[in-house]
Amino acid sequence: MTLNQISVFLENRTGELSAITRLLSENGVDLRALNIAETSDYGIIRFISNDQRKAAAILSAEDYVISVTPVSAVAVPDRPGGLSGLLALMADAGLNVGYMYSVFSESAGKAIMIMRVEDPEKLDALLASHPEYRMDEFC
Amino acid sequence: MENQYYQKEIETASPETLRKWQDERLVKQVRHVWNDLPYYRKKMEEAGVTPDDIKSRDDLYKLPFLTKDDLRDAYPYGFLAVPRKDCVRIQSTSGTTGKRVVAFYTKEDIDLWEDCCARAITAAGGTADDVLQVCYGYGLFTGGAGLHGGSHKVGCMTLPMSSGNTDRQLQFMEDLGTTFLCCTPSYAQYLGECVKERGLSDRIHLRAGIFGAEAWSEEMRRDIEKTLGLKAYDIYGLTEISGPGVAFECCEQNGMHINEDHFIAEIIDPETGKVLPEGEKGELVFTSVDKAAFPLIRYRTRDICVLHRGKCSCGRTFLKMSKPMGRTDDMLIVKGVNVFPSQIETVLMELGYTSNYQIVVDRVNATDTIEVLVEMTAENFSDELGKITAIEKNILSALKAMLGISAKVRLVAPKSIERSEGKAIRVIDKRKI
Ligand SMILES: [Zn+2]
Repeated sequence: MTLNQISVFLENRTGELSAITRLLSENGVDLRALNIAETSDYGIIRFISNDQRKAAAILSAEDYVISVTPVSAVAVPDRPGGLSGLLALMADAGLNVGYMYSVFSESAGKAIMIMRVEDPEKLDALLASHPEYRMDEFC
Repeated sequence: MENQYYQKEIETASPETLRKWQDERLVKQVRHVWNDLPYYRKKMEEAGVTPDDIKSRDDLYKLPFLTKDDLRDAYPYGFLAVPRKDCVRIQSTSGTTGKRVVAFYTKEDIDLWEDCCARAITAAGGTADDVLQVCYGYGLFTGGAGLHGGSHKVGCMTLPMSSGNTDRQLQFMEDLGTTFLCCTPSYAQYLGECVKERGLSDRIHLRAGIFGAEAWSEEMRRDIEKTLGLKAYDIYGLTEISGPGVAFECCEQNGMHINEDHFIAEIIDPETGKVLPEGEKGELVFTSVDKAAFPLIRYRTRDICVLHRGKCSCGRTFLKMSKPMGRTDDMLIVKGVNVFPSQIETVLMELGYTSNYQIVVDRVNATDTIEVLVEMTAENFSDELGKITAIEKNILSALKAMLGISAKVRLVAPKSIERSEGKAIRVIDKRKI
């Protein structure tokens, strides 16, 4: 399934990340997945929460620079080779993964991963015939 | 369209003839200041130079410079070089701090200044058939008076509107069929927005405009040309040298021809005062060779630009100056290279970073460092690190190309750059602390 991921620009300074997570939790936004990509000077926090619309509004109001990107949530069976099977399937279909990270909780013995692909709809279509990797509900 | 000149024989004179005029007039002018301006004579004596040492413009470098401070020192009458009864006009700079600078004109001085403006109007295509609207301020400021006088000389029907009252400006523009506009570029841009908003573009008939007295970009030029439906020309001048019209743009719109029969231009290194070869960037210095009442020798404009002499398709032989790239007051010397905040701003604007920036200069292990802090914008942000680092690299290489030295770039959070009374602090030079 496709979700809206929020990315936030962040300077690499002590306390910057905690300031954002505190701001969100104080406003009743719960994080479901979080990932950080960084250089020595700045970073990008990418996250999924229970209320992305609210999260975006809160951050924008505080002058954070954000961007909203569609990403895919997929289920990965908790067994050896669970992820590599999925990646092989995607590679065969010409779907490249820009980056991926996992969701805090798991669902029915499966790990949930967030993947950034060029064409989330194509991935949805591919997984329609591979239900073991499919995520239909989230949160 | 055929090239038009206001004074063809002067504007297209051979370089030899121009040179001869400059040599003769400079020699005469130096005698005039030696005899009639005790303030400058004292400077010459201190520099150990007499009028006999100045035989041609090749000797110009021997003469001492003048700065705005000199003019303030000598306020009010210290630079009046003719008997007061021969002076017919006073204009003044818009200085907001300290003493003002006042400039004096004889009838002949006014005449040559207005000739310069008439050349500018003609080079921009103005003729006696034009209705020329002047919305520069009239009064002590030279903008209104200069273009007004030039317009009379060309024979345009002149509308002395002065500045402000936009409704009336637009009403007259429409009713009287203004074809030629003279004002500051920012006001032209504002008029253009009003024309667009009020849907007046079919009812105005502008075809050319001369816009000066403040810095403006090529982007602004395109914007003004589009919204007002005219060709926009730049003009350069300063009260100390006469007023607008010291230099003006021709049909090529790529640099301004300096009226060299009246003004000798030099480019100097602002640090050492050494004259730089043609084509090099430095501080613009003017000597007025035939003004009588206020004859400034080697006046430092504090404007940074480049001079270029070459064939111009308009047929004029006058030297061309680039748009000023900055002010010496803002100049930073980093690793021995002159750096202007305006250069950095240009790079950032071209790459879509219209927001806030700050330049931090420091000295680490006896080496200068320069770092440019750039506030991230929503347009340039991405969820992919690679895209952001690519933008960072673009800025880096564009800065290197512009400045000639490597600068560091640091992307920072929006609104994180310090401001002072609403204005961003552009430069922090930690070396002075
Ligand atoms: Zn030309």
